[in-house]
Amino acid sequence: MLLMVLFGMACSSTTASDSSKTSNEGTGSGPNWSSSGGAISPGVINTGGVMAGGGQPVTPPEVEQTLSFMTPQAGGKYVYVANPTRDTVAIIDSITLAITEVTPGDGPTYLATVPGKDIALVINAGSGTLSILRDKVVAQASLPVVKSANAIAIAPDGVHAVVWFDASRASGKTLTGSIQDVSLVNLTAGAESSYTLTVGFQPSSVVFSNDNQAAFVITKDGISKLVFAAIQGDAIAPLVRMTLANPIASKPDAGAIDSGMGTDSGMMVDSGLFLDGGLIVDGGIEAGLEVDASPVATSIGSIPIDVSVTRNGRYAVARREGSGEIILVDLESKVVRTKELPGILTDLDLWHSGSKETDPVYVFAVLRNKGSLVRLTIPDSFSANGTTESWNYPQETIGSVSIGEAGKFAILYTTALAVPRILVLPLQTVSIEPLVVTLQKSIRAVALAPDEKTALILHTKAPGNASAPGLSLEEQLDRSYGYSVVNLTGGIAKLQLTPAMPDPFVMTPDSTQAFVLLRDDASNVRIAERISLSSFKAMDFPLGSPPNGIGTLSAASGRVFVSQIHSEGRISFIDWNHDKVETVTGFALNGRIRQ
Amino acid sequence: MKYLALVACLPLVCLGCAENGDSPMKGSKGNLALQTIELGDRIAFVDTSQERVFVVDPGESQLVAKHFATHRSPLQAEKRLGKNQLLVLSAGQLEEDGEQAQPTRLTLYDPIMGNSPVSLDLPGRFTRFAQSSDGKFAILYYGESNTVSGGGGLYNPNDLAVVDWDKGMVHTRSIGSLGSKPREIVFSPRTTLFGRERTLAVVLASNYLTLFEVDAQADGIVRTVITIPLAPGGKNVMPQKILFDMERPAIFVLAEGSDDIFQISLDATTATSKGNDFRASLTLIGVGAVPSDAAFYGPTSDQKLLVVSPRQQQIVAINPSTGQSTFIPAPIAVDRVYVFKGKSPRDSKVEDRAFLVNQSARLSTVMFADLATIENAPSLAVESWTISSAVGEVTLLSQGLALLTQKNTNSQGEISLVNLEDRTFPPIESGGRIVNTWVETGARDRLWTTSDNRRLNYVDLVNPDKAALVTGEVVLDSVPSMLIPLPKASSDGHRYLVVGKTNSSNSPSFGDITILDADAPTRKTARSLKGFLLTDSLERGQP
Repeated sequence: MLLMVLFGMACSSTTASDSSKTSNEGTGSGPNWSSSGGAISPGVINTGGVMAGGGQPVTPPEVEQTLSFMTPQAGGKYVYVANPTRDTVAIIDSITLAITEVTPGDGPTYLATVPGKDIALVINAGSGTLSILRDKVVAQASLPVVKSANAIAIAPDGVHAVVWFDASRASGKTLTGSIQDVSLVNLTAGAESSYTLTVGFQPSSVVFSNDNQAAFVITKDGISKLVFAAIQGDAIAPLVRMTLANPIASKPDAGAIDSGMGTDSGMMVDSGLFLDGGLIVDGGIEAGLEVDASPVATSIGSIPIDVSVTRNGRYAVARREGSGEIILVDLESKVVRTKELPGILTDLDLWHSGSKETDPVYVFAVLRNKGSLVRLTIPDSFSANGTTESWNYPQETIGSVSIGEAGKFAILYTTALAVPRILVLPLQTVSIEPLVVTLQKSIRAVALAPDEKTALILHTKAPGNASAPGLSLEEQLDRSYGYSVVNLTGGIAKLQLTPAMPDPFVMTPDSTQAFVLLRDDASNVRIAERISLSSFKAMDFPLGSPPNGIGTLSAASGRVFVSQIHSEGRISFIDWNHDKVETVTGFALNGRIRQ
Repeated sequence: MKYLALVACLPLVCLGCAENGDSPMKGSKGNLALQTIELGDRIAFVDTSQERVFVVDPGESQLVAKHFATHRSPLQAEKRLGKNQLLVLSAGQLEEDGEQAQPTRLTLYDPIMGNSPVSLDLPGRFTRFAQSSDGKFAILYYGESNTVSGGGGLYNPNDLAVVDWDKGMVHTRSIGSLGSKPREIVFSPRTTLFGRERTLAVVLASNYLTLFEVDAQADGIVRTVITIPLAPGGKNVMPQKILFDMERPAIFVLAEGSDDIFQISLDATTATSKGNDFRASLTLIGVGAVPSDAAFYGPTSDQKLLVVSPRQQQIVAINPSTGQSTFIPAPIAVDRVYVFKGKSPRDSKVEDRAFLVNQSARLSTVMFADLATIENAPSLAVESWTISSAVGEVTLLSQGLALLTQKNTNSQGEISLVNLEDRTFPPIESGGRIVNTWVETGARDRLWTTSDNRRLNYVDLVNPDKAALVTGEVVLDSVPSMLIPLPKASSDGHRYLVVGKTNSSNSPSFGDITILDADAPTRKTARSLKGFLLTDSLERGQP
């Protein structure tokens, strides 16, 4: 599963983010879930395989990317910018550019907004508290949150939030205390509260059930389940393990996966968590002490990655790097099942075939070295006689799969090898042949527009100067930055070369535009480039300072904001309907205007 | 007509300019300062020592000085902008033994209409006033370096009095202070803003600005003042120059102590019972060094800004829409920019272009910039020329000309005419030592000089048929230190030139002026009025 994007801040703004990292580990960013894994921006792009000593081709893992945003964070009308050095948050009206400065607490640093609403949460790093901002007002006295908290995930309905310490963003700080705590915050106006819950080791992301009644904290130990209604105080959250101590080797079925038959019956295990006297709160399903069940396990080794949770919160799926094993966890019964596929899994993604509770949910798995896409039904494919469906593309190289929010298409491609092709597979008529789209450059990341009619493909750049003399056109293209826009139904692709790496980007909620930021300080490139998703025409908006973040406001506002590096704080708003740019600089000074 | 005095000692009012310093009339009774102010077709002299105004109409066959008393202790006198009327601010007097207190007054004299002066008793002992460019408003304030006459009483230096001459109203306005007090007040052009015709006032103070709508109060509309801090990161910032872009609308501020241009954008908002119907937001646009000058260019609906600083060898083009600054390398550092519309030797299109000089360093290299292409092809858009003399003052003339003159006129050959389109620099030389220089613009573009051999010389700088320069000469009785061409023809159909000597401590004058025909000056038709400051002195008591 790769890169779920990003139709504006509405998607990503649920998570506080102030840093970026490169990872090939999953961040749990499923199509229907708010990722909490933080910003992952491009790192080293692998453009080709290498040969191992034995002559077997060793290809690097697929590169997972979640292009996210630095501060500021967008609400519906306002943009919120934390300024820890001044102990303030600047609130910028995207229409009038009026700035209000508020002082929520000591060192407001990590900030997140409720999607589409002018509600922001900010962690005051200096005091270890959380402040709630409603419109332009600090709602009430700040709430205590877990020590060193640096991450926020907000439920889509904006009623609950989970605040935790994400060790991946620790930025060299000395760790003290526990990194197994999260704060569950009730954001209900007038009834705000915060409870501390013990979860598995090193939480990395949080997802919410689609009824907004529960959160699932992805940790190294497994998944901790927070059922909001059952939590009335500090407690230990029940943990469903995905890694067990005593493995029982699973045996892949000899059947070919392209037969459509299952390959292996899942091994069942109650991975219940042994809790020594702690209070377990689990939505009333189970409470009290639990005893670890028989140690029947699936495997050991690497930690599960690509963890996704179904919308109803019933199941979680994951994989392990370098393994063919898919893990299915029943979050209610705590039963873990696995399915061993005959090859190394390089990506997973969930697909909800409909919005009803009874509509089947599938997981798509990619086996790059087999050139196969495998579909498993949850949970049936993991039963003893469960079957799978598979599609083989022996002439193609696929390692990643991206499925959009609406689930119209699965996009198959690879970021690990220099293969400039994508396969577009309609999911509702999955038996038909995929549309193969040939691109001009290899792929760094793929993003789907909200309406899933178009995709934005970010390309890799080969080392070297594109303007060096004597290069062929192909070499110049390889050495250039760029992206492509692809019409997913017609297969038309347009390459746009850029003077700098296009990163990050957003797509507008109405699917009419995409924006990419182009920044190269050495060459003084400071551009927000807009791409019409109907005509594929690109238009540049020069910026006054190097851009460092972009996000969309509500569709009604019709505006994208671009934050820029400036000692006094600078942000530009681009009206995508009227091609108008307005810039405001000096957040602190603006906040002190008396009018 | 607009004229510029190029002699430092000449106490002329620079019309249309924001006042930067204190009035030359600063001080109280007994000061020898005599201020000269043209009032269209006649001339006024404000004698602070006598507390009296003298007005001479050169169109009258018999030259006489009509006179009337000012109120006590005149502090500042100016022509009312846009009118041929005189404004005099008088300090009045505190109550003393045997003398009643007199309020501070602003008096409007209309010598042409001959009406009785209109005096406004002011609600404070203000020491300065500023005017809107149309003369509709005046704002009284306590100038930063002025102290209230007499030294008595407590006052709030952030109180203002706003005079609406059309409505005949004076109302007070107290502005917020962020620790300083008003240093200068400038007015926006009168314009329709957010559906209402209005004039904005900007009060400059150390580290902040105050902005308010001037006419709202007279119209019975409550508006709050907007206070805008300008000191990022604790810098000490002194606003120096204000540019209004009323189309955007936005106000641009150049400030000493800041490497940024401050852009104050105004946006409509819902008016509240106590608030404004617009909001101000601030944007800082980096220009690399403390700017000394800036000018707009481009279409009115989307003006850009060209900014210069003597501290860097580059000029900066700013796009206010994006806050983007484009830095253009320049062969010299410049401190003044003059934008004009015209052709260039390489381009026959009439476009916005700039003439750039360094006056403070008196460099002899000047630059031109083609502003239409400066952002896309900066290296091609800028070219420099070295001329024969160092650049002092620059006066833009009509028909694509400019005049370069020197403050220091001891040497010859330091006056050059610049053809901005051809980019040629014909020098203007004199056979004698030039003592004083004046450039007249408006009714005609003419350079006036005086030499130490009592000769008044002139040259018409703009010659429609581009023939040889038209020159002339008049021998005077003495070398004048004051020269004022009147912009308006008198009742006899002639436009006059007034020359004379101003008072100084070294050579006190009783009022000696010579009147010449401004268009065809000759000694033969010249008339003199001597000792007019003593007019009716016996009848009115001590001179």
